[in-house]
Amino acid sequence: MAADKKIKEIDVFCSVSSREIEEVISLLIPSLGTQIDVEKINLTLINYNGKGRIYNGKSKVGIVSIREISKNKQLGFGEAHNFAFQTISPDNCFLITNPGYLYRTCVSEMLNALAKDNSVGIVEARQLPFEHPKEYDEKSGEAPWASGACMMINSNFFKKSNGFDENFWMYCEDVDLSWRAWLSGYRVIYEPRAVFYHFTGAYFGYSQTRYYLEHFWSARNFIYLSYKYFGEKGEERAINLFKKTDFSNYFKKEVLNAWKNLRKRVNKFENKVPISKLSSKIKIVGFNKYHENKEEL
Amino acid sequence: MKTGIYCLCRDKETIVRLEKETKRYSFKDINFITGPDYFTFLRNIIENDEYDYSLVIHDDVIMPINMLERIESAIKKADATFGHQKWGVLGNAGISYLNNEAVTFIRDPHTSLIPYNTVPIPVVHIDGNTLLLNIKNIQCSKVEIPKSLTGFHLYDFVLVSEMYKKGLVAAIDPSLYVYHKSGGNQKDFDKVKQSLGFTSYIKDNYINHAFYTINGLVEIENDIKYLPEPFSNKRSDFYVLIEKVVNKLDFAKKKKELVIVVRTQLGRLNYLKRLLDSIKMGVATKDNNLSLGVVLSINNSLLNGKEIDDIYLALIKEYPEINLKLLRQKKVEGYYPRVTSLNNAVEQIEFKNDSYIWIVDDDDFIFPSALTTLVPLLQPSSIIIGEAIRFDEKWDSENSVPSNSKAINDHFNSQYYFKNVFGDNYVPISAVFYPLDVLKDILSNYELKGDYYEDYAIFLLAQNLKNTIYYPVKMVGVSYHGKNTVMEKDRSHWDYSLVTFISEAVNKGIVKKWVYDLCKSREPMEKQLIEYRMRLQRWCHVFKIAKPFIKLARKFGFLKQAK
Repeated sequence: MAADKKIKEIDVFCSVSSREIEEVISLLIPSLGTQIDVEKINLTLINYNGKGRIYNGKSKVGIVSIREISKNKQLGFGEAHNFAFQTISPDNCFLITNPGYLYRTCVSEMLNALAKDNSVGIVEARQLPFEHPKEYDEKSGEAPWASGACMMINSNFFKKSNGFDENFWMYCEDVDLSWRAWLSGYRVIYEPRAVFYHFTGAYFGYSQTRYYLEHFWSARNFIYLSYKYFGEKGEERAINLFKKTDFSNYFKKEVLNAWKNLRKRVNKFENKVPISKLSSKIKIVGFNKYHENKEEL
Repeated sequence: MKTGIYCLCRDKETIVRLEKETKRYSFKDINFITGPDYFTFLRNIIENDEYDYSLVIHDDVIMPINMLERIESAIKKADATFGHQKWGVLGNAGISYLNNEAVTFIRDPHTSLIPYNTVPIPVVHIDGNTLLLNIKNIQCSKVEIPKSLTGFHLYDFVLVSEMYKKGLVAAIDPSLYVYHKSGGNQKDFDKVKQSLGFTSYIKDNYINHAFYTINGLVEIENDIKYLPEPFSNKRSDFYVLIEKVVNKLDFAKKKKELVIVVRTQLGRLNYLKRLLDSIKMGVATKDNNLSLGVVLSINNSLLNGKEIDDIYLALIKEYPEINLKLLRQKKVEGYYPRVTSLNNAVEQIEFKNDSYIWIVDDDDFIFPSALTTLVPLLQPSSIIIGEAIRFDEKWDSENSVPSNSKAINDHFNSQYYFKNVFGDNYVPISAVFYPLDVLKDILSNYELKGDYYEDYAIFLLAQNLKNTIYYPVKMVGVSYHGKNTVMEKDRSHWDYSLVTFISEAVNKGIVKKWVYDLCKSREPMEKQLIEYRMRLQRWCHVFKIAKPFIKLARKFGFLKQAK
């Protein structure tokens, strides 16, 4: 990949159901169509519900070619993207994005960041209108982890690391992938010049009257992630932190039951590099918090 | 139109007393009943009633002597607002669908404030003291009160829930104002909300664990099976169910026109393009019933006519999705180009009836949620306010995105809009949808001589013309980037503008004497609050310096984390 040349082709994956397809049609596809310095974008829509077809629009909109794939069963976030990777086999890199709006320089800025050297495993775009307060090194762009809402991944790294860990189902698999990148010698970069408008439920839709998938899966996976990297001690600390949250007792009970079920079939992560050497990157600073806050540093 | 009145009485003595009392005030044919619990009582009416409408009241409700006329008015208003076949029950107190706040058109031991007038408001909970049932709609839609439930509490919640399940709206209206002599029994209510019957009803129907009611938040231990087993759930989110019904009502489906008037000098294109990008995102997700126009209203530009034309043509090319118009500034009188650009817009743009105007500056940006959530709720004759979030931003490139952006915590909170009357601005101009006639009225009948604080002046003057409805929906981002007018050091423009505007408001009689007296009695409290906030701010940097030391102390166990 050359940083300053026009990019010939890029693969973009978006896992989507009939609930989000309108946003894909009205926001994502038009915004991909306005990307500068990119000649062709291959958008693969992964129908994670597995039933029927959800995209009935044109197969080509400007520079964007669109195809839909499904596995005839429900897929978690990681499994969906692993499936897309196996199906498409993108050459150098690929972009994962939620249905949202990519600013016109987003793809090219991410590609430039990824092309800086072969050690870059993942590049994360900056989310607006509410920027994530996550810490990152302003010179190198290095960040502890990258959000799966809009990330570009080096195909070599993804292949070597066997993609996402499908045990997560959804939420926190992006943190896990980032940590495995650091442990296998790849870097995770935050590129603030690449902008992705993301109208998340946390800022724009969640009601206080119910729990959402994010609450459940990110809580269970927080414990899983802690166990995977920090063993029994990590698990114990995570459970204690979770118990101190404001969630109701019955919610906590259900999450802990779900964790018990997962615990029976998962192992600790066997890493070659001691985590202590990467303590500025692989860390848990609170419940579901894997970074310091930018303003507090 | 046949209308019956039912009153469930606690005993026979009460019936005797009430029969005598009501006859004195010419209320005829009230059906006084004693014996059944409230669920059974309502079920019987719903299943067997032959009236078109039935008013169901508690035995401690005092109705106005002209209640029958009021009922007729309530029915007419509900028919006109929602559509004749779309409403199931009207009441006089409940939790507003708009912002989950209690609204009470009653007098009771908790409330003695005289309420305002409005169109019927959809609710997520209704107080059972007075219920006007649309019997024909209820029977046609086959609304049923579950037989498993009995007692004297939460029947109103279940009634509303069953209405929405069948696509009928529940609403409240001031036409049904009454004096409810009892404030209810909170202890009994708290017991019932945890009863097996009620919690089973919730678990069978909804995934929510918290419900807003007029008696406070009801929290139950619901199950969360829908989370570990995604996509397989058959129960609904109570509030999403309600939203779906409300969005099908006549007022929500009515075609609306919204014109975004952008005040710009065309001198800072990267800010303007950020705004247009945000509008583009809004256009992509907006309601189909909304006709949206965007007008660039030139405000004291330093550019010449050709330069303006060139930029406008380039923008039209870049934003084909947006219906973009250019409005040159006709003339600038004195020092008030911003007000003049508004005047130009209101005078020159061809609006349809019932249009709303959204005035934004070119360094603001909109949230698409304003178009998807607020627009279906636009009601005739109301001024609509949403939330304005302030962003501290840095811009160091020609890109139309800030290089750094941080939301500031103390955003403009729409529910405090009324504090404007204390002399400070709480509502940025971009956080308001103004009905066109309100703006026209203000700009033609008041002398707006000044240019700063014009947002404050317009909002203050508008209060005399229409009711304001606030929604806790993110509407607009207001950028602080070092080049805003609010950061200008010379405050003289501001001071002269403010005094001129307020002088106009005072001399045109904006505030009525009794409102003034009411506010005056609250002023010491407001001052105390302001002083308290200032004291906190003074200590703010001390806390900032101390923060790393506190963190270290916590880390090494010298200080415990407060729970």
